Amino acid sequence: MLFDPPPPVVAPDARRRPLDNPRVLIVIALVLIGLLVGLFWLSSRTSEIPLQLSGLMLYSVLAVDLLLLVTLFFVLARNLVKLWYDQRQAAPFARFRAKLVGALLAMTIVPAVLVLLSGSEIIRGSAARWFSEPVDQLVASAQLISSRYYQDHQEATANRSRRLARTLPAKDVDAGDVTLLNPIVKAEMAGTPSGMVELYRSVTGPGGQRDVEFLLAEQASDLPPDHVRALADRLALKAVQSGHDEQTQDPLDSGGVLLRTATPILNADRTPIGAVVVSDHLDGQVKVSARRATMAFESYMQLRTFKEPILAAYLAIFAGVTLLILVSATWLGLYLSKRITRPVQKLAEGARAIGAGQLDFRLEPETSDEMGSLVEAFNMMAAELRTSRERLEQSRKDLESKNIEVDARRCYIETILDRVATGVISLDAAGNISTVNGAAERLLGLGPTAMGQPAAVVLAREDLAPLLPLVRAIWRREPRSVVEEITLARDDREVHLAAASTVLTGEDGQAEGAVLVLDDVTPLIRAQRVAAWRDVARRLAHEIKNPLTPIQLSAERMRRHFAGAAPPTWTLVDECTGAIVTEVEALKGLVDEFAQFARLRGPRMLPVDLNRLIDDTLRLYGGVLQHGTLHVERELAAGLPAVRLDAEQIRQVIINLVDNAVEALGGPAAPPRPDGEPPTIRLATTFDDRNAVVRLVVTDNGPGVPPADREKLFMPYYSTKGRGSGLGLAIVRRIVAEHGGGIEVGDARPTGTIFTVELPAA
Amino acid sequence: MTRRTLLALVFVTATGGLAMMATDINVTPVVTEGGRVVAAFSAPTSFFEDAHDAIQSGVLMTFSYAVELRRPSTIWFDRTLAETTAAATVKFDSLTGIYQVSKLRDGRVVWSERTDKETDVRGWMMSFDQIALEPSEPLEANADYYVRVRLRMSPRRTFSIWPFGRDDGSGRKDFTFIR
Repeated sequence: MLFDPPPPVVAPDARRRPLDNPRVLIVIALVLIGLLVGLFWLSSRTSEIPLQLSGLMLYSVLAVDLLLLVTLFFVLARNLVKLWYDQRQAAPFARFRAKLVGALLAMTIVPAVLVLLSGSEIIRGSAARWFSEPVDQLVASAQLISSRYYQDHQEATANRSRRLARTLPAKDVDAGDVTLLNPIVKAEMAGTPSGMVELYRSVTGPGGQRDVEFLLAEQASDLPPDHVRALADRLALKAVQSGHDEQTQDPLDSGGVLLRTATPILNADRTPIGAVVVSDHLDGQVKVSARRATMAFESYMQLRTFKEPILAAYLAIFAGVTLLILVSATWLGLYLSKRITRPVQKLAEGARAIGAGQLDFRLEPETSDEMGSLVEAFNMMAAELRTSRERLEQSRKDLESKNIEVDARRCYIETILDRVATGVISLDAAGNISTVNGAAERLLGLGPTAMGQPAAVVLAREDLAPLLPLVRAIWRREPRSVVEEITLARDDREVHLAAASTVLTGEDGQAEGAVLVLDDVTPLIRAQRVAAWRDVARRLAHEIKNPLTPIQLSAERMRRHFAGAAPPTWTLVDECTGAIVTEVEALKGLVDEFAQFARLRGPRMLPVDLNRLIDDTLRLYGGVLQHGTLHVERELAAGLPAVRLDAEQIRQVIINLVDNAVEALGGPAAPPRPDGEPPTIRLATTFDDRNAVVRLVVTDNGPGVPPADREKLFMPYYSTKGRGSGLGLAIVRRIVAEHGGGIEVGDARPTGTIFTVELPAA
Repeated sequence: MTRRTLLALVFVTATGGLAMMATDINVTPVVTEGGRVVAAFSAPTSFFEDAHDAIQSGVLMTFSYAVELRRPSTIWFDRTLAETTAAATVKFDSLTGIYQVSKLRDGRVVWSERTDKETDVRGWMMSFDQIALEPSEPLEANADYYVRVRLRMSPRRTFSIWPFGRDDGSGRKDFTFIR
């Protein structure tokens, strides 16, 4: 484990709705199916529902239709607007969803509307055929027969009741003499197979109201016993009260019906004194058949009468079913399009998130089908990408730290290379210069443009030409490492280099480049020369000085011996011995200078203000130069740091350089320069902060030194003046060298010589 | 209910009443001693004739009369002070030729009769009296009121998409209550 991974980010699913739950969908589907079944059931039972309820049902169905229609338009409008908006916003899969929804709607709406139209026409046609003329006649005839049968029986009972009312003696009825009346009633019942006669007498009740009193009843033997006397009583009273016939049909529990007719019995002045109720029994079979025919007739007539609202109910139910199918299909199309596109859309969003570097992005699988497998695969891919990314990140960090380390090491090496006095030039396999350190730039006078250039071109410069054979030897690779001492003439002086070239070879033995190392051995050579000269000087001083004293003593002895000699002889001896003594003295002085050069002590270094030392030293020349024509100018840098030096030796350096300049200008009374300028000696000090050196520059505007003689100036016993020991500048160089510094000579402008002494700052 | 001499004289503004009321149903309002309004009304027989076929088909036919006592307003809707519903149902038995007629008041059956005479049925279905309207507040003297009667028959033979506010007939009688 590289490090603890953060918890994965699960894609926010704000749009997850209850409708995405399969259980909710199943419940909705069941409700819709139930609604459809209910509509079909209503459709099948429309004719059986009471018409009062059918109106309510019709408007209920119409309300449902309206609701479905509004829902359909709302769903369509909402989603059309949404699709249009998504397309305007260039939302992913918007076009695909629009096409899918359009195809599903086209597949649904067109057939549904066609079915609705054709179905409506079929219903209308069927309704028209329900009420055909033959059916009308058939139903009406059946109704006529059944009602006529009832009415005939009712009429028969009425006739018998009227006849009996006329037959019964009014006074006997009024008297309530049952014994007289009973035979008459029995005679009437004799020919009646199933019936009953009930006789009543009119009486006055306790409140003065008219009432009836039951006198007798005679019934056939096969009359069902479940008839109710009270109904007959009520009918008799009604007839007595109205004074005319009253009829009723009393259904019996046994299934039949009792057709009753009550006829008032009138006395002479036409006043009802009683009533006779004649009943005729119709058995249940007849009653049921007649009632069935009547019900069929009434149903038929009701259908015919209320055809329009019933047809409307059918059409409303049919339209409702169609709208329900349309709404369901539309919603299903939209739902399917979402179900199809949403996971793909989420995958696309996930891919974009992964592409944006959000590797901990995860998708939550909504289903366990192929789309769910795809989401799982996506999540696995994201996890693997994340692991790979983490490994890469770790590798990158390792590499970065190594690069930093390598960079630090490279900087360290470059710093070392830049700081070392040894010049290093690296070449690539093609012979182009890859790196040049500061020492090499300084030694060879190379600029930044040398980088990348072919070494053969860069070193073809005239002053660097001696290096070319060395470079060529590199590519010959024989031998692999070459060391040579090369002398370059740069800036009118010689630079002695110990140059070493080494071929760099790879593991396959092929040359990958070369390194050219240059050591400036000029100071070493100079020191070797000085040491040699010191040895020579010491030998000369030793070998020459010893015989000089005897020579001088001998010459003086000879002079004393010939002091009394003849004048010609004395003159000759005096002249010769005088010359011998003079030359011996000169030789002694020369030998002393050699001895001094050979015995020069080491410097005693102390921090000294160089400017003050210069002022003090120049003060010595005050008397000499006061009456002359020479000008001495000073340009001493302010704030010059103290320099660790031997004041006496550096004073000697200043004196030697100034003396040299005075001599070069022609002495203290030197004439003006050919250009009219006065003979001038300028002493200047500067501080080189970068190289931590203090420079003393002595300039004169004399005739200058030819380039060929410049290097020789610092050699012992070399003098351009034709007199002196020629050790002045050699001593100067030696002192400066023993102070860790250096001295260079160059041309002044327009004429003259510049001596530059560099001393390390304290 | 005892009908006493009227404390108030009902002044029917003939012109205004004719102008305002519908001519379908003839309404006669009477203000009684207790401040109640008792209305009688009769609908033209044409309504019964329209429903004749439906009645003969054996369907239970209902004539429902909504009777309202209202006070007119010129700036707002008329205010209803009292309302009641009187209804009559008829069921014809095609087998026996008998009509079963019932009268209802606010949903309660108050009278029922059987007959085979269609003329009696027509009278019972189309004429009502003693329809008492108990106003929610005492009638204001010299104020205008009216009694409106709206008839709705059910079931209907015709079909309309809009189920509300369609009366089969109506009548109105304006009066000024003078104490």
